[in-house]
Amino acid sequence: MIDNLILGFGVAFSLSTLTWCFMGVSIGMFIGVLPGVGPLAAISMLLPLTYYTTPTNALVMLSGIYYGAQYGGSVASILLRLPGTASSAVVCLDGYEMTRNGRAGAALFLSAVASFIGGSIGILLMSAFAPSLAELALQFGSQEYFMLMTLGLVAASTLSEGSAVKGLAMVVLGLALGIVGLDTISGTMRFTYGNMELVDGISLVASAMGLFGLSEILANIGKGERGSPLAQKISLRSMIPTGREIRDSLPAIWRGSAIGSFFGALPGTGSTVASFFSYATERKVARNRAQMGQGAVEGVAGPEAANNAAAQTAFIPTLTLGVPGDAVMALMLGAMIVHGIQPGPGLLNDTPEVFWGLIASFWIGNLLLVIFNIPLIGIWVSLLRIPYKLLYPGIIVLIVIGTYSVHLSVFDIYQLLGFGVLGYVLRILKFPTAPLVLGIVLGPMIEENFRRSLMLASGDYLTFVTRPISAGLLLATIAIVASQMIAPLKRWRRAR
Amino acid sequence: MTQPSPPTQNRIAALLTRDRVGAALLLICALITGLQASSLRLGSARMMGPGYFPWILTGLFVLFAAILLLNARTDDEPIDTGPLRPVGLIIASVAVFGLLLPITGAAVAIVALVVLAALAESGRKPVSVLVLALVLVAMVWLVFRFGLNLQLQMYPGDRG
Repeated sequence: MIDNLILGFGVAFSLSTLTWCFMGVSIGMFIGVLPGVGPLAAISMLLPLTYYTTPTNALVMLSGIYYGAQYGGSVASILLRLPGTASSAVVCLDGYEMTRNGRAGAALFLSAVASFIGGSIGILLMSAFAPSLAELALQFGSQEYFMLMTLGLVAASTLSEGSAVKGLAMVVLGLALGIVGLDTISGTMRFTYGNMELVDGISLVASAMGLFGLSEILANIGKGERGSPLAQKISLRSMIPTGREIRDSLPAIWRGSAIGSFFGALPGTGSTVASFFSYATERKVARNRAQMGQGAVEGVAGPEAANNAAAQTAFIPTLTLGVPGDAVMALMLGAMIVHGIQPGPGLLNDTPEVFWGLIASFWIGNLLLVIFNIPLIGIWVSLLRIPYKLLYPGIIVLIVIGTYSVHLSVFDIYQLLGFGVLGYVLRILKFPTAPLVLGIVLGPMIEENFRRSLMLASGDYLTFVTRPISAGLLLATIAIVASQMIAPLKRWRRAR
Repeated sequence: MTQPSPPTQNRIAALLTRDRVGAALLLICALITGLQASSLRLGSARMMGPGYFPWILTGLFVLFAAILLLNARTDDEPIDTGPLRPVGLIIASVAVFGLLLPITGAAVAIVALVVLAALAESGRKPVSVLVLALVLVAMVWLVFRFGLNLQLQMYPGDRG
């Protein structure tokens, strides 16, 4: 592990990688501060930019955006009670109360420190467990991969917010969109309707930008001005916490890191679930549990450590198994494939410099966030004062030019528009859009493994049950589905 | 709880709940997928043709549409789209950009996009919109043409 990390730091300390890392975390921090623009929109908007650099730099920057946004999301939560990202929503509760008590600076500082510790623990666990998981994955056949992807899709669509049925339906729609184009096994065109531009399939960039970028604007336009002015000045001196605040938050940070690392590595439960679970834990065990909701430091430190730890360990299944746990990771996976990297157990063995370089860059990125971005919090916050009506035309221009730049194709702009409208309609009907992207990315892979499994088993469906790992994954999937059916069944029986 | 209004309109609005329209949407997806699947070779479980997986997806679409209809919650609300004019203007701005880009190049297309998009929010001064559009054209020119060397045609006859 030490040799590997040395290799990794050798890659990550090159000037160009450091530059892309710094760009990533700064943009991520900025995006995270802006309410309503999440890491999904940011990553899809900046995906085209990364085609101009090496695969390693591209991944370093994209993941920098992701965990940078986790940091930034808490800033808006603490200062304005507006969650910048879903995973920092729970920080609003005690963070904003701390602001009202005049401790905004301390809350920001503690959340940054908690994020750093949580992130570091996540990275440590990742470097320790990823190789052995990849070792295990070498024994996986098509059956295991198919079941693993099924488990991931079912978990991601049912355990997140909203209706489980609607989430699953969106996965199916994603899978259907994912198989558009040339079927590589039989050489047949599917769903292309004679359009040559669809042969390579739906454009991942166009669909992600439409679903997360454009539809966001469509949903917010005409709803009046958002955001509220900020009264409190944040000076560096106001950021120093008291000794008591530090003593109280440290245990919460350890607990949050453990919870976050666990939930991040599981498919389907990302940083949002982790931060809520950590908050619920703190409400039971924290020393200031009586003050939770009224500005207790544990309510900020715990969830912040949890969501940053989860943001790191979420990379474990994506990188070692090639199976993403949520939509952000699905975009990462898509980006790797575009850059010609096949994630999976082979990634560690064939291109260790990519894998360990990425891990080392996580560490550097987290450090950059603490060193450079905490003093800059004042600047990020002043950006919150840019009126939305100046911002959104610029975002649309960035989206359309970015989409066009990937293939220099006007057709991609119409794809973008189609997905933007689809995302808007789905939002009105309260369908989640994140499982859709997961389906689009996994569609071709899950079908290929499904077909190969049954080909190897001579058409016998029992092959998914007779192989032990596959059977275990199937059981876990069934357990999740069953747990989702309890509540509706109870309601149904009560109604009779 | 609702105020007296024209009965027919009310009844249609009450029928169009989120879950019902969602289920209808899923059934349309099932229809499209099923039609496509039926034109592809099915094959067998041992040697699946390109149509096998789409048929499974068709079945899942129907299944989830059925669950959504049966499980229609009592608190299911009628659809609320909000104001449609600004949404239409944003859609038009992107469509016009796509139409103009190959003809006039990016500069004119961006100005058209920004003007249409700005109309979506009321109370904008024409001068400030034009300034914003020109700033964005300059930024795209700098970042994408010079910075990233993208083959983006800025004006008619521009060789990039």
